[in-house]
Amino acid sequence: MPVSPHNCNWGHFPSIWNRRQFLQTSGAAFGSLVLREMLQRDGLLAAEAFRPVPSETNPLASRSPHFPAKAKSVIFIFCYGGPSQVDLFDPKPELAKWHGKPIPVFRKTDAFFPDTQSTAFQSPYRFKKYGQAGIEISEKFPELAKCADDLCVIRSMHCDSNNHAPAMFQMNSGFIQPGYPSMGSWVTYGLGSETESLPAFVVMWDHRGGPIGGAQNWSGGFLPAAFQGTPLRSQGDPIVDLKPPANIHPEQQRARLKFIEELNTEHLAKHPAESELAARIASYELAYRMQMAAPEAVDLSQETAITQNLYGLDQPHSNYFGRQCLMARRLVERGVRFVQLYSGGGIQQASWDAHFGLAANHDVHCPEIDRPMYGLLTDLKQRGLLDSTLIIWGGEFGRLPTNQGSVGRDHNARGFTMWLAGGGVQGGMTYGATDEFGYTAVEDPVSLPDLHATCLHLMGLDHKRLTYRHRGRDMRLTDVSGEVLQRIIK
Amino acid sequence: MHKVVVIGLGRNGQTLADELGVAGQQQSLLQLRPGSVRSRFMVLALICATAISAASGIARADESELKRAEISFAEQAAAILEHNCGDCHGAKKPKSRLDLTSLAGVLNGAASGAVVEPGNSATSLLIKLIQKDATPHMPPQGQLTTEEIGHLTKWIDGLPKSLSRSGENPITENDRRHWSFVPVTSATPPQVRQQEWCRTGIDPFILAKLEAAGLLPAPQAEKIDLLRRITFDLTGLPPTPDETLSFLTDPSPTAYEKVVDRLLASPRYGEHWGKYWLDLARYADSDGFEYDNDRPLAYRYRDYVIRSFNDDKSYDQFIREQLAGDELAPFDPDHLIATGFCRLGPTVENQKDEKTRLDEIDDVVSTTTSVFLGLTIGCARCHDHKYDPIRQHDYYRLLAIFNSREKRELPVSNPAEKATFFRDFSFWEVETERLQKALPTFSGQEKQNAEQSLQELLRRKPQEPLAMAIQDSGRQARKTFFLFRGNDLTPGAEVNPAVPAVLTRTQPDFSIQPGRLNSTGRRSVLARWIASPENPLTARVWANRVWQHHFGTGLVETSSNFGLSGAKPTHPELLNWLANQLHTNGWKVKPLHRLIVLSATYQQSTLFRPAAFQVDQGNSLLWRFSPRRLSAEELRDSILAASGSLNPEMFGPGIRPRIDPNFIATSSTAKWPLVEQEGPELWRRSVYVFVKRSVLLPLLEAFDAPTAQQSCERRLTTTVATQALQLLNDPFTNDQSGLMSRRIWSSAGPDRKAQVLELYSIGLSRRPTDQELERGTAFLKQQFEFHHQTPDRDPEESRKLALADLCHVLINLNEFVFVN
Repeated sequence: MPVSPHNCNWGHFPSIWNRRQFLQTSGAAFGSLVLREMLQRDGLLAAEAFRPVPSETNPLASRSPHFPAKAKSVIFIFCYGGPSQVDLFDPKPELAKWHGKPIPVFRKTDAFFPDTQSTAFQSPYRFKKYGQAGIEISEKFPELAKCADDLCVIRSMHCDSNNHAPAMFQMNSGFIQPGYPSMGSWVTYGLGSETESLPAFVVMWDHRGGPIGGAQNWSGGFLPAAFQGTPLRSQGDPIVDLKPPANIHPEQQRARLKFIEELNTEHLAKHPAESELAARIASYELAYRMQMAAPEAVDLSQETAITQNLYGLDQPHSNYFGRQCLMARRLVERGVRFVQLYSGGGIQQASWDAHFGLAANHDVHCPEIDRPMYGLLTDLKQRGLLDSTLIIWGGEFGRLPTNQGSVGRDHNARGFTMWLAGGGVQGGMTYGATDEFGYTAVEDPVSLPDLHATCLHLMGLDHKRLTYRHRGRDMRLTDVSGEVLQRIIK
Repeated sequence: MHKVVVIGLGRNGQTLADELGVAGQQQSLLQLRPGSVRSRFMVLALICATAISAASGIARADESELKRAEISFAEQAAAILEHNCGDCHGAKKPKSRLDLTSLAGVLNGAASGAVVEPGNSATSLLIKLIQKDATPHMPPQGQLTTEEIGHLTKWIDGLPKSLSRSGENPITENDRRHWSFVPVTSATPPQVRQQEWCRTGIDPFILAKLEAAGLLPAPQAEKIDLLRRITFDLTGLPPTPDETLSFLTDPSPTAYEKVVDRLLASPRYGEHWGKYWLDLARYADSDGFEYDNDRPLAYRYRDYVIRSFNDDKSYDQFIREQLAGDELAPFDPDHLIATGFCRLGPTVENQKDEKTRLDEIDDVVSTTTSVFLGLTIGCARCHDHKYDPIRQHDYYRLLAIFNSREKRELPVSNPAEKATFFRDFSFWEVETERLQKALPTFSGQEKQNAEQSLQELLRRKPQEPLAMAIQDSGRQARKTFFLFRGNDLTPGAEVNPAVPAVLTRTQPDFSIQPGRLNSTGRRSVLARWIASPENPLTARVWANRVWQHHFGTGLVETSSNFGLSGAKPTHPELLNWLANQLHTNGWKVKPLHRLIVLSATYQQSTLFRPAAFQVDQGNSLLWRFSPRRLSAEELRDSILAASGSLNPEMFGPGIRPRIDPNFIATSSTAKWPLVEQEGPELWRRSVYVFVKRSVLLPLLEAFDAPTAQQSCERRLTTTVATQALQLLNDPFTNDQSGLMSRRIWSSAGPDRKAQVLELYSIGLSRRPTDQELERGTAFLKQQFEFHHQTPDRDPEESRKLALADLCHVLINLNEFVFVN
């Protein structure tokens, strides 16, 4: 087993967690941070820097990567349901020629639904070349297209299931079975968090609801619960239970907190060697800070109208996703490690799952995210954050280039498009290709382990060394495969 | 590249050249002209030989055959394959995962299966695809010459058949020697110096190791710590003030033993220990995956588990019922319900192909073998196990045992229920028939009324109680095939049922049919084999799980992996002894609990001693009792117990406590209901909380409850800020604080001192110190003054609000959530 800080310190999490004792740690080290913060706020104590919480007691403490990282954080725009590659990023003129005729590459077993036909279905959308690189992008993304030179469009993705839930699990965790840690959990496990007052791995949903599979998608699997994704609400209190119920007065809550801390500190003094007690006191201090920090992080009123409009907040159709993108930027600025935004919720037309009308579906979903994505890339760039923020865009699979009914498309696991931007990724390029119909990835095919390995690499993590020992085996996000796509790295 | 040969190490640590028996040739190899194709491939061949013999599932062939094959590959095939196919099927990122630049690669084949059948070019895909008229054709552009095809054909025909991927590595004597694979024997407790310290048979084993390490055990725990420890340990709940008082005032030497027996007899015991089993059984009340639809009958299995623990059902019986209850007692409801174990995993309900079916059976094979045998046999689905002597063939033979499994909803009523059902049903049948016949004779309003009545009747068709169970599809077993790389599109030879070869020298007889039953009988044979004292693993694994739940860590830390990559036992003789105890006491677990909790080892205090810590940081020698945080369920249940609102109702469909409406979105057709205000019907023990795989109860999830996707043998304990937020702010804790204050008020009245005393007694099972008492009353006074600022508030109301504040503090205390 290769020795690294990760598998050394974390290889047997439960035992270390339960048994490690800190002879040198006295109760006083954890002091009365809450108390001090209150006093500070009340002007009773001069401002003083917080002592960082000892890392042994805080699983989310920041850790060094395996090697210098290109990206510090990730924003993953997950268009759940399966956006159509041949209508958005991978134009196929052949489809027009074959329109209505059976294409030779079609196999019944590739379709998910029995009513999917072998006849080509040409894209209802036009494509144009954008940027210096001349990347072809669909007319459905006119705003995003302005950022073409920042995008690395991977046209040769493929995955192992054409069924939503297994494919989503694989996109998130590398495995089509549930129960494995998602990429956000792995990254958080590997690097910890840059912020102690916000969750490290945050998930936001579509206004129509959560993606299918729900919490299974951002599960920490067999990793400690500290690394699972935290759902963030876009309206109201961002985190559930962030604030006491309405009938509890803030003053009352502060008094409770103060007394809890007093008694806990006293209890710790009687058991100075028990690190878990100290860790738990620290977690209350973090919770207290989160109560302050989280509402501030998602408070968009602090943004100028120009910025808000940049993200499309001025348009009703793009307001919701625009807010989430703007929040994502603010979270990343504040040190959140991994933000996952789901576009599309519920099932079928409410998601990108265009069985019953490709245009009817994508005409709704594309404009919702087009301007916000443009705003996010532009804003990150002008703030100098794009280089350290990896943006991932894609769905759990693509769509077949043939007909389902007369105007719909079925799932396609054999070939689809994702794009990456920022975070050390070479912009203005395409990578790989599907066949002439956009059916199968044929040139430089990219598996999900390849994608995951590349993302980890950009974060400074070697996917082969980022392991967690589970039931006697060193588990990896990439299981037993995965090759870093060196060509797309700056 | 040349240098690699010299430094490569073979399987047993000798140099590669040694292993290949070519030490003498090593120098001459290196002297080959650099760059010549022949030299490159000879070297590659040597490297590959190591790779094959060390890791692949190919080599049933003996080493000399392998060496010959390597040489023939280098001489006859390597250059042709490299020249024609190397661009796409090279070692680095080969297309279709087919690497044709090494013998190992060629024999391992492509992602879709084998490309070469050693000894038979005619059936080898590779030869078929390179023919001139082949479709698809390889290479896509270009054509091998007739001469080249001839060379490859000859080479394949010359390969020994033993190299076939369908061959199997034999089990060696050495493989059988792994500590957990040898039979359980009776063990004699070791001699110790401080004999007087020992209380049960366990203690000499622990003490001997402590003495050897120069350590003393910790002193006996305080009575009150012991009571909290044992009560949580056996029931998952805190002791009540009455229980505390009666124990503390009982001076008899058997006071503790009496408590143990009381707790073991309590129905709360099965609810707590049953939950450990439900974790193992990946129990949930929904399907998981996309729809995550409810399984409204799953709870019967949960109830069966709780009852089984409470009844102290023999573990061998428990095993047999879960794996083959339908064959062993097809008319007994419990036996049928128990087979739910074989279908509790997550299931894809919107895709019905062979792969999906095999994935489901894989879940059963993997879970069964990891739960009962502590082996990670699921790893051998696509290749031989990387660490353990478990062959890929072993996996498919086990698959053959479960392969005829069908998921069925079977009637499980007891005789009385059955009688009622038949009475209702025949009544219904007669009535429906009568109405149907009479219908044509009616007209107008009368006819409408009759039609309505008929609809109503049809809706109310009596249903016999059903359970999620399994049965085989028939007496004739479904054929099972070895699958290359686990892919159902590349089947190999048919396999017959068998248990892993390394665990037995005489296979059980799988041809025995279960009487006239319409079933293969295979699962009964497996169940009997697992539940037999001759099985080296079953009792060890179970005894270790019991130990783990008492002490936090098992004698084998990896409690579901007793294989070569698992942890070694810290006290192998003790584990042997415990397993033997299980055998001799008829597989009963309650006597095992008694042996453990009555031991001096268990009754040690948690006293931390730096000197002992220096010697054994992990406390694997058990020089003290390790304190622990409550589990998620214990925490929720303790809060309910402290507030006095714990509803002791047992069994039945799962409860769905309040979840923030923002977090209950799922694509399931059966949603989590919106709950405005929780009531007593939801304040039941957490083991009864409905487990919906896509919507876990946040309080339980945050405190490390498992995801219920795979078997969970051991929970982690993590500490994060969101836990604090939940305990501080969630309506649940705030509501329960209010209820607790009412409870305390009703017994202690308005006197602040009495209130604090009562609070400590309920929540922490002890009297506060004078200082704590003073602090507590001061806090109550301070909060009273705060609440009393509100105009027109009744002073008594303010006092109650102040008391609720103190109750909220209690729930959040470290002392409340940790057990010493």
